[in-house]
Amino acid sequence: MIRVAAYLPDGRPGPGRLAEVELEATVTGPAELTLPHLTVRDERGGDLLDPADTLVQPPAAGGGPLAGAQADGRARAFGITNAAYHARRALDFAARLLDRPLPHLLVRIGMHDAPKRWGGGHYRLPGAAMPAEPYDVSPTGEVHLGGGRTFVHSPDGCDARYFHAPAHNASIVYHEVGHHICRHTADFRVNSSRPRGEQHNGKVALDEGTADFLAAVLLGTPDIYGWHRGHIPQWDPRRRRLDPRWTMAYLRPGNGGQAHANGTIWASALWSARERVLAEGGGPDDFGRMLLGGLSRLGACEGPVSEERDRRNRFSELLRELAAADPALAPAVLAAMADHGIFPEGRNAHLRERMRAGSNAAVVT
Amino acid sequence: MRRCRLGGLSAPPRLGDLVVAEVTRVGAHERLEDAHGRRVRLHKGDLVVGACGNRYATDFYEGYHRPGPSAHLLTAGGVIGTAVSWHTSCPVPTELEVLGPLTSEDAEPMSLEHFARPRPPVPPEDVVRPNPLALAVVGSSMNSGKTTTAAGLISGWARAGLIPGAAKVTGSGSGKDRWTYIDAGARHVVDFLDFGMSSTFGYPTDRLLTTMSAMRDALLQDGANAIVLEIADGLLQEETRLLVKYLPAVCSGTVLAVGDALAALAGVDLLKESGVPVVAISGLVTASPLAARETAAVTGLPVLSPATLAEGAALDLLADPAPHA
Repeated sequence: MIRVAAYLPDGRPGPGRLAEVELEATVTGPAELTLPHLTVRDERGGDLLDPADTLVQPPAAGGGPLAGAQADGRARAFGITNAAYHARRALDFAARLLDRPLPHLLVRIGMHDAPKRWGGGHYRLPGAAMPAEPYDVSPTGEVHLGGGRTFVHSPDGCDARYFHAPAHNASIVYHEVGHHICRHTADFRVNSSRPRGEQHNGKVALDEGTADFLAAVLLGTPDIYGWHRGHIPQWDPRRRRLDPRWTMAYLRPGNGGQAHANGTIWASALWSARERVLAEGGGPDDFGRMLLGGLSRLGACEGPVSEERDRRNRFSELLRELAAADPALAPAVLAAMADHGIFPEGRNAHLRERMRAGSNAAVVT
Repeated sequence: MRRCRLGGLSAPPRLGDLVVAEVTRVGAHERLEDAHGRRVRLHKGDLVVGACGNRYATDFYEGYHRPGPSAHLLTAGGVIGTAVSWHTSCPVPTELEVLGPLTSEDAEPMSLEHFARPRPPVPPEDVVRPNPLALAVVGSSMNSGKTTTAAGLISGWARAGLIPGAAKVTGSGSGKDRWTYIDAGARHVVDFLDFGMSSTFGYPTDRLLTTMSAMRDALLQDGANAIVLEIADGLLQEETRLLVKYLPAVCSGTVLAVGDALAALAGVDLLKESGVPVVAISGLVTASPLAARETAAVTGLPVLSPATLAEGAALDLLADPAPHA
């Protein structure tokens, strides 16, 4: 057990409350922590973690290229411990609800950072990807986090700037670990039936939405990205705030990069369903267990890949599996989902048309 | 509102003086920027107001302020002078007849100097100020990609959440570069017009040097926290050559915009002789991956396209600024 620093979710827009936490981890390299079923490594090199010294490093306002080498080193060390804490928390959450641990996850920090900068994250499996991956990707999955490219407001509320390093932002870590959970449950791209080195790295709306919902649960707020997207109005889809207003009427057809926006519809519906379950006396984990059960059921069928890909892309199919995973909660969940235009039958386009036909003009924009 | 009129010719106009002229023949410049920056189409017989000045543009005109009734429109921004040579691809200049000075209500000739912004106050010597984040952009020649490079830096800084400021230190009066900076995300922009010069060619070097520092300080005063200073023309242009020697006093490094590897090599050598740190190569050369690789090989410097600068590389160029003189 080691003692490290991390931001703890506090339900407010911002990185959370800075605290010292215990972590069941071992320093396995100058910039690497190893935990059960999890490895977190900063790929940019440098002696960031010294087991003989304190591992409690300050966030140093995110470090970054303008911070100076010492502050940037501290910020990167904090990024490792912070990402490890949140990845561990997300994996523990999934393991508890699934009654099994997920396969090993490798989190690489500081990826795709030269000559351009990258301020996001992605989940990767071995296979074609854009941009190309510089390393062999672990067959069980990897989360990649950029080194950061933008300043945001400092969490202490003053005018000072904070370099938005994705490893400092629990919402990004949770979202990407959410993809790992999806890969080893619903497996939306049917990768388990594909050759080991030819995995599909694309994400469908259900994948993005489920990852956003899991992030919201772990953060305790529907405004998942309120820290680094706080400048975007809450009504703007790019904010990706989970909200009852996002219904199937807003579904954007086609495969061209709409997965996040379409995923917000699914995530918002999940959030509404969870609220409904809690309001009706359900326990805090009840809906999460139902969701993970539904994801596992969706991924359990072994039909032809093309048919399974199509089936696993449908909102109605996953909703049906959720209902089957916990029939007791099904009425509340189906009612909440219906408010978002999601029903247990019909293709996505049909659900969209049905919602649009029943919507007033003020909703369908 | 300031009321102006056409005055009588009492003394020859000087650099920067505003004059009223009639268009006698529309040539290369078919349009002239109005007070809002819109390029207004010119017709024979139109009355226009411009500022007397010179122009040094190897791809366009070589022109000088020569008081007299006949003149040329040297830029679309309204610099009026006499073109003495021009690039073979350039049409003959638009011809003007100077009618007289633009005068104020009290009949005094008006000059850009009357509109110059005050120089920012110099802080007391005992006040320690952090070194501002500032880079210069210089080039091997006209049209080597300096303004596009500056726009890439501005865009990269703006996207990173910084407050970019941009200064066009030298050149000939025209709104084109100012609009390019603003479109790229510059929150604050100054150029030599703001400091009373219609074009910088022919002004004393001392004036240009103090103006360069004043521009940077003005942008800081306005609220910018990442600044680009663009110096016009090529490094061999006389005033540019003198100015670059003083760049270490106003910025932490220089981005060199070039069209090919040979120009990059020569430019880096010239800048090193002047003690100016070159942090990257950019400009037209980056349009060709092969030429970019050649440039990187001979200079050992990062070769970054304006698009790459905009996508984050601009931020790294501000890292670890060298101590200022």
